[in-house]
Amino acid sequence: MGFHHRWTHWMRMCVESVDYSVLVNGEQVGPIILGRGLRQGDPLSPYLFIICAEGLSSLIRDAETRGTLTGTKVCR
Amino acid sequence: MRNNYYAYWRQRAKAHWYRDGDRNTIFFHASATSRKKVNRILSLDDDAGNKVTSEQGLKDVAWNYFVNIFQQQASDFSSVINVIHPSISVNDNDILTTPFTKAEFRDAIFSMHPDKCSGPNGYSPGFYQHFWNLCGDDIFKECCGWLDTGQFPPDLNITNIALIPKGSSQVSMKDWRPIALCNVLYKIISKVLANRLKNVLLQCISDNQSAFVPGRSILDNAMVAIEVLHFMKAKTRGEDRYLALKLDISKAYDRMDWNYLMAVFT
Repeated sequence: MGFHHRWTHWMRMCVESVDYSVLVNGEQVGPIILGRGLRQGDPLSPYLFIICAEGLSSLIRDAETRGTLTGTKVCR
Repeated sequence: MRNNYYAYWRQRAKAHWYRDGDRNTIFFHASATSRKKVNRILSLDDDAGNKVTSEQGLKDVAWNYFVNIFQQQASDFSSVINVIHPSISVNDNDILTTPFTKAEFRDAIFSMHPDKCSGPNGYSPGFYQHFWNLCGDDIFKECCGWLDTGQFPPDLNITNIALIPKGSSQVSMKDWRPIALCNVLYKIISKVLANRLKNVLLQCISDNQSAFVPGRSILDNAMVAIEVLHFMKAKTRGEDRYLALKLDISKAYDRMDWNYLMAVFT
């Protein structure tokens, strides 16, 4: 999408520096080393998620320009 | 002493205390106690379907489950990345990377609910709000330092996962919703960044994606869905056939591939 590399690095810092412990009946179990995933509870997550979902929108738009998908009119 | 006692129950009850204008009454004790009962894990089925009830067994099931789900999997996403076009302008990037101000950090802290759960280090948003005059300068300086050098201290982003029951009965790990409890200090930084990111979403998110974008409403898409279904139902003539898909991605957040995310940003 053309974000500045500084910004991309900040996103990487926030997402990848995570170290998890899971609380089972009040006791910490961990650490769990992560390789993927966003956290429900991190203020950035919703935005990162829709930015990722933009991949699907882009695929659909691409299929539309190539003519493999066509739109339809509703609510006339 | 009396104040401490109030604060203890206020935090334990997690019902929004002052806003609801109530006193330390039986209601809050009841909501704290019933929360404890509902949130306790008594048994879990493991992957093989065996019922596990011992404390150690429960811990193992939970640990295995999360190690498994958060493991990175090899994937080829180049065909998706190829169709994503640059949409962030030089001007947007300037706004995103402009030096941080103390006001941004202040806004981030004061927009949090003071009694929201604290992370592993135990400091709640209320703590930072109350002592902002004393520690605001230090927080601002430290956070800016970390962002400048591009490195967080190793313990900043330690996160506890609390398990909240999902649905009416809990059998396996799938029936517990994991909620990440980040350190509030991390959340302050994350919120400052999120507030900046919000401003460029209109440019980079398609019109048909309506959730989370300021100025758009998730209800717009619900309306579109209703209209589309109505159209399909009402259509009686013509050769065309239509198909609607409703997809629900399970564990969508947990499965998000980091390399893909970075590739989308770049």
